[in-house]
Amino acid sequence: MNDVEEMKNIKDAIESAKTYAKTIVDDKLRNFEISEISSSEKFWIITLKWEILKKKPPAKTPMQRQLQLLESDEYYEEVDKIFLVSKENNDVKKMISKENDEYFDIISEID
Amino acid sequence: MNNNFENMNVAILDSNLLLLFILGLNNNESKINHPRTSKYNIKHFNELKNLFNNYDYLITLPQILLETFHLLKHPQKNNKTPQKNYLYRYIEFINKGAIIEENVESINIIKNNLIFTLGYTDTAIFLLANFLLKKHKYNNLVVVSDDENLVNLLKKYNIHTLSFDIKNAKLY
Repeated sequence: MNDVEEMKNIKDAIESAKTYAKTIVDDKLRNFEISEISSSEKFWIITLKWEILKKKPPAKTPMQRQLQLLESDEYYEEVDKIFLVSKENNDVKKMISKENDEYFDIISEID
Repeated sequence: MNNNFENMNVAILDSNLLLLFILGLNNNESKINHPRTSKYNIKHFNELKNLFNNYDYLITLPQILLETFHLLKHPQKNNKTPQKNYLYRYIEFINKGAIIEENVESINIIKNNLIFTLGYTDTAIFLLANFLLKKHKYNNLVVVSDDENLVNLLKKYNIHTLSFDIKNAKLY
């Protein structure tokens, strides 16, 4: 596999992980970003980071609510998730919390 | 969304100030990094935000959005940030129902002689503000603009208008 093909495969794997994440957390997320990419024999190991709305601000109108969300971090919490994306078909095999100390075991177990 | 518009306080931003708002949503630096907003800084953006705390919705027009989008595409020195990254937060405002889009037909703008003094977009803003005021569609309407011709005309028609005291970053 050449570098161009590998880049395309990584890009597709990232898209697959993003789609999976967005399906789970719907539209309550913001500041979606890729924080880490590595690989094992069978998987792309992609860490995605985002912020998720944990409570609604007390504003009366959508305009005021959006402004309150901008001005304070208290309404969002940061989330890190690791996605194991199959190199063979881009399916997300597993989503693991970064806080999960066993994630290396999980990767080696299914790899 | 509350659709009882008669009780709503709404604001219209002209294209330059919408550009300032969009850039400000993404920029915590003291300078709003764009040639068209070089006279503004984060204090001006914060003043806009303070104003909006007293308003329920931002009203926009296709003409304003089109012009602002083109301004956003203006090449920015030493700044490689893609335009879509700037729009991301503004789109959140749209998605959450904070922006209402009104419509002024293009043929009515072109037919109006004001187009020769105000230009296409500001004529649309004037026609919209005048229409909304006459129809009493909203409880309180303000137009925020940095175009002197537009501001003077709106005031002549008793339309509540604000513009920036640039030095003190205050709307008056």
